[in-house]
Amino acid sequence: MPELQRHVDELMRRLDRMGLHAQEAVLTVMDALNTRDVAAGRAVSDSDGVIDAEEVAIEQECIRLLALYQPAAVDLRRLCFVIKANNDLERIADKAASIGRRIRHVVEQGIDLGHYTEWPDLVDLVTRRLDQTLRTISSLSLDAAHDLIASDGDVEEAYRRLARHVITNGRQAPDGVDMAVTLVLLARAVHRIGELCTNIAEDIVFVRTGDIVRHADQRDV
Amino acid sequence: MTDTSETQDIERRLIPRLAPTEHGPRAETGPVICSHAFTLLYGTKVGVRNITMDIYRQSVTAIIGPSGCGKSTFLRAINRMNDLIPNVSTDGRLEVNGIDVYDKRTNLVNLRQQVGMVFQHPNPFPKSIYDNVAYGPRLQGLGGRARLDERVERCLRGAALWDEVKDNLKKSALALSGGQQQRLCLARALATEPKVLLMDEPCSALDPIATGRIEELIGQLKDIYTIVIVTHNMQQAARVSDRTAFFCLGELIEYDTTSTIFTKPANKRTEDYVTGRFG
Repeated sequence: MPELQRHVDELMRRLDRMGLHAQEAVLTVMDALNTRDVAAGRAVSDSDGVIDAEEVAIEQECIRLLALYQPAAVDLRRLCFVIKANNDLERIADKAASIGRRIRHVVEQGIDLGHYTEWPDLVDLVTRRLDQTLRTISSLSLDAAHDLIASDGDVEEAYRRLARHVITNGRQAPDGVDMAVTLVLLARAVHRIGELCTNIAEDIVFVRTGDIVRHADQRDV
Repeated sequence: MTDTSETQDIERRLIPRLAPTEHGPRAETGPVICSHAFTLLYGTKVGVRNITMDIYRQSVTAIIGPSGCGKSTFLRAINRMNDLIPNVSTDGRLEVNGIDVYDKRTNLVNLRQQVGMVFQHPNPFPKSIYDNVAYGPRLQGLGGRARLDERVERCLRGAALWDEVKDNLKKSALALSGGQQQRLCLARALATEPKVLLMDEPCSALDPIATGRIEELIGQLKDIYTIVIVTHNMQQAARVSDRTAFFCLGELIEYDTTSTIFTKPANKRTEDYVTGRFG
């Protein structure tokens, strides 16, 4: 096996591990939010630096391989994918850290998430989507990537339903605006995790086919 | 690096003369070299087999492939450089500008005037810089010192060598550096005013700086000439060419835009080759 291929294979394994770290952060912070555990939320936020450092290390290795090997074809596509997916996974972990920091506001403002039935729908949808994305990073399955892209609208719809409910309540309650802002920011972070999963799926299509499907509806593809 | 004024000078001097159309130098973009089921045999050994491809005007086409794949054989077939090898036979059709290269009636001198060639190792004649460039035009009967001077200067400028040698045109070409010698050979090839430039590993004997200059020149010259380059250096093929042909075992495996060949080749063998998995 050529040396470059071995290096890229190793990078793909590191990307898998990066994904698992990001997923752990997301699941932990969702638990912390459900149990209103401010300390657990802060712990997720505090541990974000570990994922940031790994992101930088992976990117440095990608740049080193690009400079030394000038890869082509599938090696080039896989390296481009690692660079982009690595960044997206780090941002997913960032969103988890952001949610972790906001748990304090949820507790202080006395927000009852149980009041919003749309909230668990959105969280379930996004956490399942993240799990499917990580599996697809491992398998590089084209069908699975297309499934993720096709279901992108589900997350959007779940977010909009929740946001409508939150805004309606916010207008009615006396302290509604502060609570609404906190809830919308939380929902936006979860929604963004779903969007980043779509980005990764689009990049998996690029690895497999060489086609850039991002914004395909706005371009002549 | 060639400066802007030098580039403009090349364009001013060469483009209007060689492509005198009102639409500019890149107006003609159809094929200039057409190969249809072309086969070349060394005795019974296959050099290339059943090659069908069009090479487009005013573009750079790279031919890549492992050693012995037939890429140099095909390149040399375009101006019949294989004629002197015993027992060579051909089949199919190979055309340059509509001329059947292997038709017995084809005038070889005329063909080679249209198809210049630059080789792997710089091979200047043991003559002065001036005489190297003037050699072809003199054979063509270009008369008059002034016209010859003008041709020599224009070609040396075209090869980005003029500024380095203009005060020493009587100096022996063999005293130049390797990179300068290769640019001199390029100027010599330009001097007969060819339509096509064939380059067989033109940078393999050059250092990275000289290689960079030749690659830069290729980028400039393609506005005027049709360039076909054989190279083992895949990064060079990716950098300089518009289209790339991948040869293997004497056959054309894949021919597409360079971007496609190096990012998403259609054929598994092409992918394995450009990623270093074989060859």
